Order: sequence, then C-alpha cells, then structure tokens
Amino acid sequence: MTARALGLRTWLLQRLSALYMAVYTVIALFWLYLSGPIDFVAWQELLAHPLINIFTQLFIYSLLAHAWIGVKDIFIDYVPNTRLRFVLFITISLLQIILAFWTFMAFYGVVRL
Amino acid sequence: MNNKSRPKHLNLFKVRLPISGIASILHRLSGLLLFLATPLMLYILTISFKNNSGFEQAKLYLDSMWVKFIILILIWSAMHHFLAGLRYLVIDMDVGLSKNSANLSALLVSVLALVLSIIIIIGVL
Repeated sequence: MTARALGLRTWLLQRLSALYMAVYTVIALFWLYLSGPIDFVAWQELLAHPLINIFTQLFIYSLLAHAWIGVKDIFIDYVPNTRLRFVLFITISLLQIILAFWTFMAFYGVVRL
Repeated sequence: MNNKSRPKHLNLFKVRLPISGIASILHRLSGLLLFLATPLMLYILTISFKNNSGFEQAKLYLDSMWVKFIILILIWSAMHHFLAGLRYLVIDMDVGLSKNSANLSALLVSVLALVLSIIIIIGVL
C-alpha cells in the first residue's frame, strides 16, 4: 500500500471513529442522565450486558485509534527531529496497544455471556 | 521521493491566526489533553465496575480535588473537541467553505463550547 493510500485510510478511520464516538456519547450520557445515581450492582449489571459491553469497548477502541492518529499528526507538524518523532511515534503506538489490551481484559472480565 | 518537502514544521508563535485557525489549534490542544487524560480515566472506569471496593475507590478518586480539576479541563476539552469536530465533518461535506461562513462557524463552536462547559461545570460543582 502506498503512503498516500495509507493516509487516506487513517483519514477515513479518523472520521468513522469520530462519528461512532459522537453517537455513543450522546446516547450514553442521555441514558445515564435518565437513570440517575447508580450503585455498584446496577453499574456492573449495566456493563455486563453483552451489547452494552461490546458497544462500550468499541467506543474505547475508537477513542484509542482516533487519538493515535491525531497525536501522530501533531508530532508530524511540531517535532522536526526525525529520530525523536520516531521514538514518540513508537511510544504512543505501544501505549495505545497496551490500553486496548487493558480495556479488553477489564470488559471481558465482567461480560455476561 | 515527491514528498521531500513534507512534513512541514510550524512555528506557532510566528503565525497570526484567523478565528478558524484559533478554533483549529484549540481542537488540537483539546484533543491532546483528552489523549493525555485517557490512561487515568480508563483506569478509574475499569476499576469502577470490577468489584465493590474498586467502585468505592473510583468514587474516592472522582471526589478528590486533583481529579476534579482534571475533569473540569476535560469537560471543556471534550465539549470543544466534539463541537469543532462536528464542524469539520460538515466542512468535509463541502458545506460552509467560504471564508465568512468558516469564520462564523468557528466562532460559534468555540463560544458555544465555552458557554456549555461553564454551564456543565456549574451544574456539576
């Protein structure tokens, strides 16, 4: 894949993840607002529901991918040193992968299958 | 290589920005702040539903002054990033491209984000 096509793919991923997060956020905030204060049992019960569990995981993966692309663009624009930029790029890539794994383990641990 | 001139490095202190440029840099700044806060917020979220003591621990974190302060900043960041991001999605569809309407919409989302954040922050406190 050429560099330009790769750029187009991240551009698209940036938009799709943004749209997903926007829709999820509005629905989730509305839902939580309507349900009012919540105790631990109800909170875990909510996130144990397979669909809510998956949709919430998808939100976090979208966020991690979206942030990865955005921060990468910031580095490209403001970090002139090629080596430093490469180190930063590897660092945020690893960080997002670790956070994704962390998210998966946490959500997989409570999902009611 | 035809992309030898890329990437361009911008000295932000030498650039005079129009309002759409200010909204754009705030979009970046707010995005960066949200990125930086992600590990902490993700940590608090994941312990909150793990078990009862994690839930209590999460409540303690959210009640602490330093997390409250971070959340204040995140409320504005999320609000600005959300509204300015929606504006970009509209602009991507070739709507509001003229200089005047681009500046007007930039002003609108920036002010709206600030006002809504203040309302939410007052409501939360």
